[in-house]
Amino acid sequence: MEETAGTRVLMMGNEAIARGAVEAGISVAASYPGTPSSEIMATLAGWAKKFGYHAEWSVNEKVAMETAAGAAYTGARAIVSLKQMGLNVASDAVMSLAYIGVEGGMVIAVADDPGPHSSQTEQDSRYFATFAKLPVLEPSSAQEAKDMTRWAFELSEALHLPVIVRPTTRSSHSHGDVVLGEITKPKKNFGFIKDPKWCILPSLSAKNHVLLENRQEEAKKIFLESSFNWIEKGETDWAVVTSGVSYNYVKEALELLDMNPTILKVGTPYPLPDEMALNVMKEAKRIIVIEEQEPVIEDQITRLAWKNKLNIDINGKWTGEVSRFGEFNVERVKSFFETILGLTPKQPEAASKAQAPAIPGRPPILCAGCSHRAAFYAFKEAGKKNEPVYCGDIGCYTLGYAPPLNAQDTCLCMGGGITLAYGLSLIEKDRPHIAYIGDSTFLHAGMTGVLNLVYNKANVTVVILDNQTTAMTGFQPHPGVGLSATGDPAPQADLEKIVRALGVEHVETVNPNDLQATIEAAHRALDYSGPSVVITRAPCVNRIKIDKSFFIDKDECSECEICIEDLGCPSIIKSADGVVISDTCAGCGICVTICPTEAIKEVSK
Amino acid sequence: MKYSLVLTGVGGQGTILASRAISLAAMEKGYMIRSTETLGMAQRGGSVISHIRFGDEVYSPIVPSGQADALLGFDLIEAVRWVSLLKKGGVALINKALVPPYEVLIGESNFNEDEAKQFLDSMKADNIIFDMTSLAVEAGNYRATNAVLLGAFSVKGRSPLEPELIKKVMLELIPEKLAEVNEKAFELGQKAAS
Ligand SMILES: Cc1ncc(C[n+]2csc(CCOP(=O)(O)OP(=O)(O)O)c2C)c(N)n1
Ligand code: SF4
Ligand code: SF4
Repeated sequence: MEETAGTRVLMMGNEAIARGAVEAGISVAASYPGTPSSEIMATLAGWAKKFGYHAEWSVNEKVAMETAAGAAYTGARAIVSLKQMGLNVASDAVMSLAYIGVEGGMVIAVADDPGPHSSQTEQDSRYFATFAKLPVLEPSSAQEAKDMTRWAFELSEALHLPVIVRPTTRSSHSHGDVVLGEITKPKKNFGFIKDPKWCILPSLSAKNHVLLENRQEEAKKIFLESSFNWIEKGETDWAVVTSGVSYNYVKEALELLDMNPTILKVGTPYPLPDEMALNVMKEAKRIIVIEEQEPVIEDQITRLAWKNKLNIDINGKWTGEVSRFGEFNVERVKSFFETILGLTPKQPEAASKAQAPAIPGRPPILCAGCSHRAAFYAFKEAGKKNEPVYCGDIGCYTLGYAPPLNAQDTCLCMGGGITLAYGLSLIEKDRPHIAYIGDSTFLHAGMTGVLNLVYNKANVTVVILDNQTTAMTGFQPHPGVGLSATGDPAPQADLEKIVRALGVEHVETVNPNDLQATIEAAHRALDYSGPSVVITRAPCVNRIKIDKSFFIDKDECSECEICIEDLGCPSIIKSADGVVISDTCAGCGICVTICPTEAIKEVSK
Repeated sequence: MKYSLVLTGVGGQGTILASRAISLAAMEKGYMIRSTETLGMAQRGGSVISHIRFGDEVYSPIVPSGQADALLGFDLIEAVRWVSLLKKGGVALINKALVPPYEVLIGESNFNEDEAKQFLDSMKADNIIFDMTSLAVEAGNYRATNAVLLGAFSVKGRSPLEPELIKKVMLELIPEKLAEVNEKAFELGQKAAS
């Protein structure tokens, strides 16, 4: 990485957050992967040795949060990065931490995912910030992402509170030109000072609740001076309040509309610096609030107007013109303005006015040669006559929900598959219940579920899809891999031993690409009465190269298309010459086993 | 000056490398840049799009509809999906070889390739469609399709970025052992588009 302050470089928002943390002189960085936040830690891990801080992928977000908090108790600076759902997992720690506070700066970088593009929910973590009463900063560009993160540590130390930096997909995953700042080397002389203030007891909480409330007012005062909040003076009798990435859409939408209202750009959506907002509100007849997701700023503006008896219009989500749903863009923001101001919509001239022809959808799918496909096929074969319920979980394997595999009947949240299957089994006693869970997800939130199966004598089969990586989020290592975040060797958790230690007696490990053996193991697990576990272990093909490829011998292919209809491997395609295997074949060989006429053969080298 | 382009394709095809090369080239020219790409779930063979905008002053990383100067399609279907972003008088550079989505494979889609091409021809924009995958295979590896597309863009994209600059930046992003294949693919793309 370029180190020289003042240099201008191209950076992704998440990289910029990492850089901001390094400039602030962090001692500890902890994270669990999750789109769109993962690149923050991936970047920090890459720089850790050079700048002398500790960087880790923790087992889950709660662990990461508490690890960072522990470090911050000593006076050191620490960052934890996660996605919005990760904040849910860590919420128990965060809520209490707001009462206890920190000594060294602690930043929680939580990336939201309006859309959603890669998430189960479209929740707005700024609401979480208001719930926990923690200040939240929202960057509008990569430059701001860096500068805000750096500043967030100072703010955290001034308020003795963790501070949330909240990018969204479109700021996390956008690149921009960033001017670098000076890097601070982490200090070494921190230490924990014993004090009753670190032990949360009801009597302390009652006292600290008042303190926490007072800190909201302190934060507002600091935010009045913040360079991340500013007012752009305009000419109309209405004004816009906006924050984060929406600021950019507002700027361009107004340019297209050729309008120049006053803009209050908010970098600190909670707590809103009241006086700054009031300055704008008192000079306008109408305030239009443009923020993605929930009306966090709008609610505060509305309360301010009411409290100060201002007779103004406030347009936004509560008046219905500005959407709560999905991501914004220039067109959507422009149409919000057009609706509110009663303008006739005008469009820039596109290359085509005609309706484009019907286009097939293209949802994500399991890669050619994905070992999860083999596991799903095997259990489907074994379960054929009993119609089991397949409870899925979160990861690449969620993509097995799609036809033709139809391998997930439920999917809820990380670790939820095992426990949902158990709940179902309590009611449907005569039906097999199968829970699929990835290796990373199992270690994150699956172990307690398995223990519960054992303790309560459940009859559920758990399939741990062990591809030795956290694939969906970008192939991060985890405790089962034998590597740390910084690429050093690490103790490798043995999944089979863990499961046995939890008390499961029927445990088998198979290579899913050996389809026949996997089908047999599936039969044995389903026939077993009591909790059973099958670990299907084969590396994700995206990470290795199998030096094989296959072709379909036209003379022997009966055009039954079973390979297409049962497997859904994207390398097997229909062409003018019949069914063929394309260049993208990853060489797993499972289609060879299922072809009834043995027409699929290995390409000889 | 403000220049906007989108690259559309299927997750795993190399759109990210191509968009990075263009952004870095714009960076070397000193422009202000905003770009964004699809990361996450859609990278597993789903529909993906990268937006790049650069110039004297740009804000939104997402190209507003009807404002793309160029549309680079790694796949015919994905190009048509995002065609509303292309401006009148813009240029579309599209790979004719397409990756059939599952819906098409099992015959549950009424997608018609000829109809899609006719539609593209009817646009008020230039459109250059050729089989980039075959040229990549000719250069040595189907994975170099993104280099073919970059080559085509460098000569026909009407951007302020010089072909030599784009090539240089692209080669810096590629592991050395693949440089030769990609350089050849880039040049085949240039030739085919001109
Ligand atoms: C609480 C929470 N944290 C993180 C994520 C993001 N996430 C989605 S899938 C996944 C892990 C997938 O890894 P694994 O279970 O090994 O399955 P694979 O993708 O390798 O098949 C993660 C961390 C999430 N959805 N929820
Ligand atoms: S074509 Fe057959 S061998 Fe190749 S990846 Fe697909 S299933 Fe595996
Ligand atoms: S990245 Fe790996 S785990 Fe994910 S779909 Fe592809 S092969 Fe399967």
